[in-house]
Amino acid sequence: MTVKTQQIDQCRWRIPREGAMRTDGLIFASPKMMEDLRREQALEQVCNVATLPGIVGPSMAMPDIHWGYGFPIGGVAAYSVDEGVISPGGVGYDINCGVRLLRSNLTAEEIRPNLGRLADALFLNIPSGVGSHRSDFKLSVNTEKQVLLKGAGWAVQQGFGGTTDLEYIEGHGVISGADPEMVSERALERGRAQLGTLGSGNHFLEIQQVEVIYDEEAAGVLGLHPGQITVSIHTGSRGFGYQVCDDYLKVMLKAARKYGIILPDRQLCCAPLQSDEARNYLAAMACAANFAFANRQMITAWVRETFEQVLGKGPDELRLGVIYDVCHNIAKWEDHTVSGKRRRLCVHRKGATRAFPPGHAEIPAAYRKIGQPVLIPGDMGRYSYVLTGTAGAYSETFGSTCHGAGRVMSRHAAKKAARGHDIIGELAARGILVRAAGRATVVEEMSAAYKDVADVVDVVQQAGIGHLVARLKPMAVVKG
Amino acid sequence: MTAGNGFRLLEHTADMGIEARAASCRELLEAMAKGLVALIFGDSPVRAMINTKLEVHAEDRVELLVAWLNEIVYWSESNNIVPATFQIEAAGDDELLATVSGEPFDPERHSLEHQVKSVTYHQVCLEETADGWYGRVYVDL
Repeated sequence: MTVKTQQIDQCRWRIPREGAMRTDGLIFASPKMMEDLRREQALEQVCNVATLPGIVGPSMAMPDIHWGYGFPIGGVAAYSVDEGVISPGGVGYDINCGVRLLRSNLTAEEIRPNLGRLADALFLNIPSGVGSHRSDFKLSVNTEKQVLLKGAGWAVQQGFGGTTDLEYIEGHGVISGADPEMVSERALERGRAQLGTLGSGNHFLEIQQVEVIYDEEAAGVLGLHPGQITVSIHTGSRGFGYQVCDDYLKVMLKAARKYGIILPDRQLCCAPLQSDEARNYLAAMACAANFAFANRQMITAWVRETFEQVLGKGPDELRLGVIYDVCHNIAKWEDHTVSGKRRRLCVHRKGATRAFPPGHAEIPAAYRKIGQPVLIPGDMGRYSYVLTGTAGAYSETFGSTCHGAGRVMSRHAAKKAARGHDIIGELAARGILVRAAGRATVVEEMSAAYKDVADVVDVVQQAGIGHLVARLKPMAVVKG
Repeated sequence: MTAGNGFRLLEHTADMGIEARAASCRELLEAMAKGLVALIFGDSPVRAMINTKLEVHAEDRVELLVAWLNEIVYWSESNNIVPATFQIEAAGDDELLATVSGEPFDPERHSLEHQVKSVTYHQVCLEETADGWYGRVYVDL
């Protein structure tokens, strides 16, 4: 299928409504990105999302768009409360996969002599890779249900971090409406073994240094300055979320038949937002989102503990505070202005980040004048970015922006390209230490497999759907 | 990307796929299962030391293919087992009964190439063609 596109400006492309599409598609991308996109099926997926009932505004894709399953990765779509649908495929298997960024009172120069020991200790203390978990942490079924209801707040109650952390997490680290009764035994079982684990694939833990500041005022508000050490945590709801998604895809396949919804791809199966099937999924999805918030909170506590042990400094000296924690696989009820009218919408962000503007009530009071922090990880060899949300994003993309670099190379192609290269050795020569459970992951996750995230945030900045604050350079990376 | 045994691993920008061809639907389901194991564990040598029965239900054959492969993912992950053989004893339009075997994952002998989040319904296909049966799935990694 050839998808027709019309260039609107240097970073916007319209896919005019045709066939079963109920609305246009809108892609944020550079001309070069669009060339690459035509070689895969992501644009068709933008069209497919536009066919679902009750879509409000265009079916959108952020500049890190790539071929997903059902929805494209980088997809944003909002559905009306009365006529719209919820689609688990529009959230993804890793419900509330997200990124947390910690600031510190340390400088790159200060920790360089201990970087190897820090990387080793983080790799040891924070379970990463398949089947890995801490022997000193076990979860009962009843306690797990508390995690599902309370999210990061549960972890803080157990001593994993402090209440201040909660102020700097999207939604204070909990999504309301969670109901553990809507979750299968199988999901509970998978979750029990995996809370407090990083996982594998593109998940990571990274020690970084602040390399460039683009907006001194915003950086100052976030407590960032050049040469400072930060820590990024990228993980989600692990097997718990995967199972919730899988369970509810089966429910939604039946629901789509029941409600007469025609699906261009079974992975887009969905149910009307006013149906029991939708309500049950949203309650289970909230459980998974809360699991992910608790997961990142626990890992944060172990990061702090590890820094204290290795560097022999106390919490007051290290000051490893949460800058922010964002979801990038989620569906949320939000109020937005559409054609001058305030409307309640279910916004699906599949590989996209909320980017609320300055002044928004859901932003921590300390950040309200600069906008919501947006955390955009790149690849392990280049850099990551800190941005803030903008009024432009709020009015054009339901307050959404990109979530990362986006792959350009398949895993097989990455393996081929890596032949003859010692990826870990080459990164070490550039001052980036990697600790990984498996070589396969490192090869597949090498820099060349991803778009240059600088190009992605450049489009975001040009389009006005995000504002650059700082660039972070990796120093040590822990991978599953 | 060919891996033999009637299946082929497919390229995808972020994830991977599996396709297979076989003379019968049962053989196709077995070939797809072997493809899944190759995707997760590469060509690790594996012995049939543990047996279990898996029973899967779905709404139609296409969904049965996804449910079957996800059942193997769950069995393997929750028991830390590398699957070895698959024998489908009964397969209809909406249910399947199989005996599967495998051995506990041993990092000395087995390599874990990819962790599978789930087998997806994206562009899933299971159909009888002029040459036999054809199946395809994409897997979220």
